[in-house]
Amino acid sequence: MSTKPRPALLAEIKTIVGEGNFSPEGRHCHANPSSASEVSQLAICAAKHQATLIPVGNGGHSTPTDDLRPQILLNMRRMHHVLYLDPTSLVVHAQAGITGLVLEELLNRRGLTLGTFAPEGLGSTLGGLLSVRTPGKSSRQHGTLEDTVLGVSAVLSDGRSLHTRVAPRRASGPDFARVLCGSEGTLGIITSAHLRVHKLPESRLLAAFRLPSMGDAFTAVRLAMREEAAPAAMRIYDRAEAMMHLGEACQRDEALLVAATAGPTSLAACDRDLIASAVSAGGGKRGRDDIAVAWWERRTGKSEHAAPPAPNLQISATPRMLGPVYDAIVVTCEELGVHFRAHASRFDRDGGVLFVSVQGAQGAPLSAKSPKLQAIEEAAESAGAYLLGKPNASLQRYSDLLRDGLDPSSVLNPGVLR
Amino acid sequence: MAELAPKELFGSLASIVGGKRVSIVKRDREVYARDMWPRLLINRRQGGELEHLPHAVVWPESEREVAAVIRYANKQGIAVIPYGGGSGVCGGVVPLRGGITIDLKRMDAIQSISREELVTDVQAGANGERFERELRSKGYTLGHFPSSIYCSTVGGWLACRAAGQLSTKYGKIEDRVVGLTFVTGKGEVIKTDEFARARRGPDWTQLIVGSEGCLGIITSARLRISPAPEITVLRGFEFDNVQEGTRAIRKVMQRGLKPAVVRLYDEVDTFINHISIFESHSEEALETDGLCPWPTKDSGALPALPTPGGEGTRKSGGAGERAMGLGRKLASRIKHGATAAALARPKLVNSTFGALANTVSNSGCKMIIGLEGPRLRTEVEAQLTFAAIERAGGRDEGEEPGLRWLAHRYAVSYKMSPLFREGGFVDTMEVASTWERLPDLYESVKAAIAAHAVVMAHFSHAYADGCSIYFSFAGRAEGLQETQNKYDEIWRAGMAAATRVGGTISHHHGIGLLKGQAMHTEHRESMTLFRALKNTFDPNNIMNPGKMGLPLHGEMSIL
Ligand SMILES: Cc1cc2nc3c(=O)[nH]c(=O)nc-3n(C[C@H](O)[C@H](O)[C@H](O)COP(=O)(O)OP(=O)(O)OC[C@H]3O[C@@H](n4cnc5c(N)ncnc54)[C@H](O)[C@@H]3O)c2cc1C
Ligand SMILES: Cc1cc2nc3c(=O)[nH]c(=O)nc-3n(C[C@H](O)[C@H](O)[C@H](O)COP(=O)(O)OP(=O)(O)OC[C@H]3O[C@@H](n4cnc5c(N)ncnc54)[C@H](O)[C@@H]3O)c2cc1C
Repeated sequence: MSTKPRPALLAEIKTIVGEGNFSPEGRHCHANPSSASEVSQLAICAAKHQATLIPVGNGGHSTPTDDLRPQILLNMRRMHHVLYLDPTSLVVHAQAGITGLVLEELLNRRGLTLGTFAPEGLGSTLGGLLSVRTPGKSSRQHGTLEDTVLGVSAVLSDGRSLHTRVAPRRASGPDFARVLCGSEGTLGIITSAHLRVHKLPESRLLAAFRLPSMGDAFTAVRLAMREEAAPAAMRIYDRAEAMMHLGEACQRDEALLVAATAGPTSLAACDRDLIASAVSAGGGKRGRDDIAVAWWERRTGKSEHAAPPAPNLQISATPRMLGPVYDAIVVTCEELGVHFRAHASRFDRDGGVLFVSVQGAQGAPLSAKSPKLQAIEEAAESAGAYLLGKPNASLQRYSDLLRDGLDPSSVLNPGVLR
Repeated sequence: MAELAPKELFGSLASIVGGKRVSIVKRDREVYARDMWPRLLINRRQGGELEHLPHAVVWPESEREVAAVIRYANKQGIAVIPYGGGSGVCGGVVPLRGGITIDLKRMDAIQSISREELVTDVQAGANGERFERELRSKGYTLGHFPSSIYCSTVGGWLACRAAGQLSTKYGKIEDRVVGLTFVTGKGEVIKTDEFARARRGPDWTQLIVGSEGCLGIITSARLRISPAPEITVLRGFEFDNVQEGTRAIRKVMQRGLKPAVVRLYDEVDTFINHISIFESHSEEALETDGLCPWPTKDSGALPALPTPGGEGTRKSGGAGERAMGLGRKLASRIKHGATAAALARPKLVNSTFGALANTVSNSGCKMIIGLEGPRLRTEVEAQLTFAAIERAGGRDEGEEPGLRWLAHRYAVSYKMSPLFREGGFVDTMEVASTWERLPDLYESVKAAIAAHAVVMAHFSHAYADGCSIYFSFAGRAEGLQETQNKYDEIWRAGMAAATRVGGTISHHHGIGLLKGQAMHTEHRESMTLFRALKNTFDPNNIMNPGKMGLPLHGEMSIL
């Protein structure tokens, strides 16, 4: 039997957040704080009443848990202010409940940007984006959002507020902001963050290339990056995905590589040329520019085409392993008699991400529980891939210890990361 | 900790690593009682006693042995202090509770170099210069060139979040690390080098890097490498003042350009540097000072390739030359003998230097800027960078100042010895902040130090969002006690000034014993997170106890 919040608890929450910002619902109570100080009072209140505290960004729901205590769902969306924009250092201090999109729009108006993140990834709140480490939402040029963090402010389980020191780099101990980033609300509630922002690029050049195979395309990307080409974004499509996303026909094994290079014009041109020469070394050739334009419009949400269905498999691999992993997926899918299409992007120093959509016989996407999808995952893993979204099993014990230390009564997000 | 019987301790450790790799001999213990913290050097030069000695020193050869020693120590409640090159400048290796010092230098293997992935696996005890040399011989570079590269280790770099001279391009060591093998304070081995981005939960590597042996011991690391640069382009510029110079750096960085090195010397630092050009020590002369090993010409890992560039345009003039003469005398007095009088009156010297620096014809501030990398991109980037610097008011002085810096870039630290010999001290304070706060940081820290010592600064390690400032200072007082008091007061005032304006107390030297108190001022409630990490990895507080503002003895409450 789950426990409903007692009237005393409800009354206290109401006093903290105000009448209109609170609504009980079964064993939950939604509370919408407007400041770090209210979050802190809610944490104290939760501890006092043996309730749990679940931060909610744009997801709007809590992870199912067998914890039976009453839940305070802390909806962060009222905390959506830009607290300070430092135009000299190009640093913005924003509350955790602002969505990436709103923040980006505000920045754009001043000639600034969070980075070349795809808008589709920015619908989440800043707190949600920082709390969940998702390479699936990273940008080639600016990494994951946590890479842009100079400091965070947070509330711990006992209601204490903390602010990690804001500095471009420090040698005063470990990176304390990283304790909170990625911890999915289990160690503290992020209330605001200082983020590095960038000037909008002076120019952006788009180019498309065709290569004999996906393997050749991965090699070209690796070679270009070795020459220090630093494109803002890059994507490789296999034949099926090129058709699905861009309506572009490719030969049987051909791969399509699209790239956006940005910055001072001569540097953007240099980066594009470096990619072009890596492509030609791999037996590829320049494709039509309008393909790249179509890609960019789709990426920035300007395309009229409907967004393609989300991929059902996201995997990372190091630069050398992307090709073999893709090949392993090809072989396994053929054996299983299923269709798939894939694209790769988010290339950085450590590798890239493969987004794979696998369909069963009727063309419907395989569900996460499908044994066929699991077989493909296993094949990819044995070829050297890392499936995204798994906790680091080997460090689970340390995660638990850290958590016990910071949240001994397990008040914060008890169902997550266990 | 129970009273340690030396023989028993020796026996237990010998059973783990063998008798030849343990020592309880006083001489060895004395060697391992300190690092390059100037306060300890003052103590040594002025005949003070070492307050803390380890009970034993061990030289393990494998991560298994490290783990076994820590497990033993954990069971007995004996402190463990990791020791790399001992080049730390904050007293990080001082064994405050005695215990076992673990020297990692025998674990120095480069386990692999992956050409395709551009990563290398290297053991923590690897010496910096030998490691870089090995990478270079295979066509790669780590891109990490601390001035202490000859005497520091990979593990020490990671433990302290070190920065190399080319960090503006390659990043600090924390930017070069993919993952670690780490032995916790409980003697358990963990690996954080799984493809970190793919995993949920915090990035453990970044929670361990910078922990200075207080959580456990790094035994090996996977680091990112780059192809060795095809070209290096260097240039000197001159600015009217620090404000203009820092503005130029900011513009370059915020345009997304990545010079490998940018160094802007403030007026006094420029002036002192200028003087030392005229009366620079010959390398032979320095080689003869037994306390100062001197890097030879081929030992710098960076080749310098000349590029077409303008001739140096140093100005000279009547009044300026006379002032230079005066300054040279003063600087020379500080360097050789007669330091006492000069350093005992820092305010006078600071103001004299400041005034001289202004008088010397158009002396202004010098900047060294360089780029390196693959030919094509580096050339394009260099053109953009130099043009941006000129637009921001920099006067091009050609490549000569850059080449001179490159040739002497490991030398400056070797010039400090004479000052200690004269009874004075020299030290450096490296702070950092966002650009917005940088002018405040510069003025307030400079003023705090200038009250007690002769001080100068340069700006290096630049980012799009901020920069670090490297203050060098020299001081003196009568007798050991007073000298130490003065030294402590400089640090107290300097750290308070840095935190007051929102800067960080350390950009790359770390905390150790020196800045333990200041850790609390900087992090305040965030120390909770550090205590939680400590309890997670080292619940019995045996790892390097008493450092980084963590308690020396016993348990602590986290919340
Ligand atoms: C493991 C995992 C992997 C994901 N991978 C991807 C992906 O690759 N691509 C993609 O498009 N989407 C992905 N998502 C979905 C989602 O887009 C991201 O999690 C997004 O960052 C969530 O933002 P949100 O604002 O919607 O937060 P929510 O979905 O509401 O919350 C996400 C998690 O963060 C916690 N949280 C929210 N706000 C805070 C805060 N202020 N402080 C502390 N904790 C907080 C919540 O309690 C919850 O555990 C993933 C989600 C998860 C859980
Ligand atoms: C002349 C000179 C120039 C310098 N220049 C620079 C510079 O340019 N940039 C810079 O960043 N620093 C510089 N330093 C400072 C110093 O070299 C760095 O702090 C360096 O990182 C220390 O490395 P080490 O191997 O000597 O470590 P040590 O001095 O042996 O140890 C430093 C700290 O790290 C801990 N530690 C050492 N190894 C490990 C390990 N494997 N696991 C866990 N903890 C460990 C120790 O316990 C200690 O707390 C300079 C120092 C000198 C003397």
